[in-house]
Amino acid sequence: MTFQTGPDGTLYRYETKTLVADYLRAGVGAVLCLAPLLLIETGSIMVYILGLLGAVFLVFGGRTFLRHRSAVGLSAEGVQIHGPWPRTLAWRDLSVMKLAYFSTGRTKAKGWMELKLRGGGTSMSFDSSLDGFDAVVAAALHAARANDLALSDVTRANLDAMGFATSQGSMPDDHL
Amino acid sequence: MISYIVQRILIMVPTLIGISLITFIIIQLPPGDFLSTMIAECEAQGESSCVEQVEIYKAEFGLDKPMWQQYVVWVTDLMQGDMGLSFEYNKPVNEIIGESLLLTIIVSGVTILFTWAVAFPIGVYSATHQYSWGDHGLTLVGFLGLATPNFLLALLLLFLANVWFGTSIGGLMDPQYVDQPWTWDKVVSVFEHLWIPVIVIGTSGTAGLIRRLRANLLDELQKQYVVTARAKGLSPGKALLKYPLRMALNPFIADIGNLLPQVISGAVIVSVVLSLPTTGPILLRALQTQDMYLAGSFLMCLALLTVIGVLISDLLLAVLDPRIRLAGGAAK
Repeated sequence: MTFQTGPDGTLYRYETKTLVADYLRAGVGAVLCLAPLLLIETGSIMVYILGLLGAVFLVFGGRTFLRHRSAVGLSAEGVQIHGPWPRTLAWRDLSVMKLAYFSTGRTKAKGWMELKLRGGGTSMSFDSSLDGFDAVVAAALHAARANDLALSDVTRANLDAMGFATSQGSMPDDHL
Repeated sequence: MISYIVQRILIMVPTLIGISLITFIIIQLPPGDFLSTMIAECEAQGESSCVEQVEIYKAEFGLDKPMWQQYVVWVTDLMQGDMGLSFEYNKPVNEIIGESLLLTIIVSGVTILFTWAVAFPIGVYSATHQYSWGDHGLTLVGFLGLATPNFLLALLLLFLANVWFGTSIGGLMDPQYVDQPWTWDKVVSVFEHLWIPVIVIGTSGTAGLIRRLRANLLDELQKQYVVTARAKGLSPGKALLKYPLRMALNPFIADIGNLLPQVISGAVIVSVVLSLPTTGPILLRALQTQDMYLAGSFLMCLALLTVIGVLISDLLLAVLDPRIRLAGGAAK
C-alpha cells in the first residue's frame, strides 16, 4: 500500500508487536463472548450481556484493523491519517488536546499514553505504540500553545512525565 | 480508552474462572454433602422414597461423576443463567434468591444513601474545622461507631424501638404482611421497620467514610493550588467544592467495587439478629447445610458483582483522572 506522505515526508505506523497483541485480544475476547451464545436460550439476559461484550471486542478488532492499515503523516501544517479512514487536522484548527495514561497493571508501571486531538470538525486519537508518538505530541503541544489552548491538569502532568515542560501553578483538572 | 476497556474485560475472564474453581472446591471440601445427610435422615426415619429422590438428583446434576465433570456441568449451567436446584428448599436457586433480592436491595440501597448523606457533611465539616470542638466531638462519635459491634447495636435498637414506638421485634414488616402482596400499608410497615437495620448496618460504614473523607480532604486543602486559589480571591465555598472536594472523592469511586456485592450480600450477621428476610441468612443457611448449588451460585454472584464493581470503578477512575503516577517517564 502506498501512502501520500506529509510535505516533509514524515510517516508513522503502529508497532507490529502491539497490533498483533490487539488482534489476539479482539479475537480471544470475541470468541469467549460470542461462542457461549450458541448454548444460551434466546431471551436470557446473558445473551444481551455477552452480545454487548462481543460487540465491544469486534469494534476493537475493527479499530485495530484500521490502525494496521493506516499511517500517520506529520507536517508543519497539520497531522494526517492515511488509510481506509483518512482524516486531516490542521494545527491552526486544533481546539482540544488531551493526553491520558492508562495501565491495567497492579503497579501501573506498564501502561500507555493516549493522545486525543480535536478541531475543525475532526477528531483523532493516537496511542504511544505509534512510532514517532513523541513527535506527534510535541507538534500538538506546539500548536496548542500557538492556539492558546487551556490544557487540563491531567494532560499537563502526563506531558511533564513525557519530558515536555508545561506551565506551573495551575488549577486541577477542570473536567472532573 | 477502548484498549483499556478491552484489556480490563479480558482480565476479568481468568479472574472469574479462578474464583469459580475455588468456590466449587471450597464447597466440596467439607466431609459429606447435603444428599448424604438427606439419606441418613431418611434411613433414620425408616423412609425409602428419599433414596429414589437422591438418585434422581445425582443423575440430573451428575453428582455421581468426578468432581471436574460436576464443575463443568455447573459452570455450563451458570453460563446459561441456570443456577441449579436448591436441595434444601427443593426450588430453583433463581427463585429463592429472587424472592428476597428486592428487600435486600431496598435495605442496602437505603443504607448506602444514609451512609453517604450523613458522612459527607460531617466529613467536610471535620476537615474544614480541624481540631475544633465540633471536629473532636464528631471524631469521638465516629470512633464509637467504628468500635460498636453491629449485632449489639441491633439488639439495643430492637429493644428501644419496641419500648418507645411499639415496633414489632425483628423482621422487615409487621407479621400480618409477610408473604402478602404489596399494598400501601405493607410499604408503610416496611419503612417503619427499615430504619433499624439501616442505622445498624450504616453506622460503621458512616464512621469509616467520615474518617477517610476527612483525611483525603485535609490532604487536598493543604496543597498549593488551594492556597493559590484563596490568594487569588476565590470564595471559600468555591475553593472547597470546585476542586479539593472533587479530588478527595477519588477513593470513594474506587470503593464502588466493594459496594455492589454488599447490595446483595445483605449484612449476614445483622440480618440474622434482626430476622430480616434478606439474602444474607439464606447464604448462611446454604453454607451450613452444604446446599452446594445455592451456596455456590450465591458466592459466584457475589464474586461477579465484585469483579464488575471493580471494573466500573477502574473505568470511572480512568475517565476522571487518567494521570500517570510514576516517578519516571511515559511508558510505551
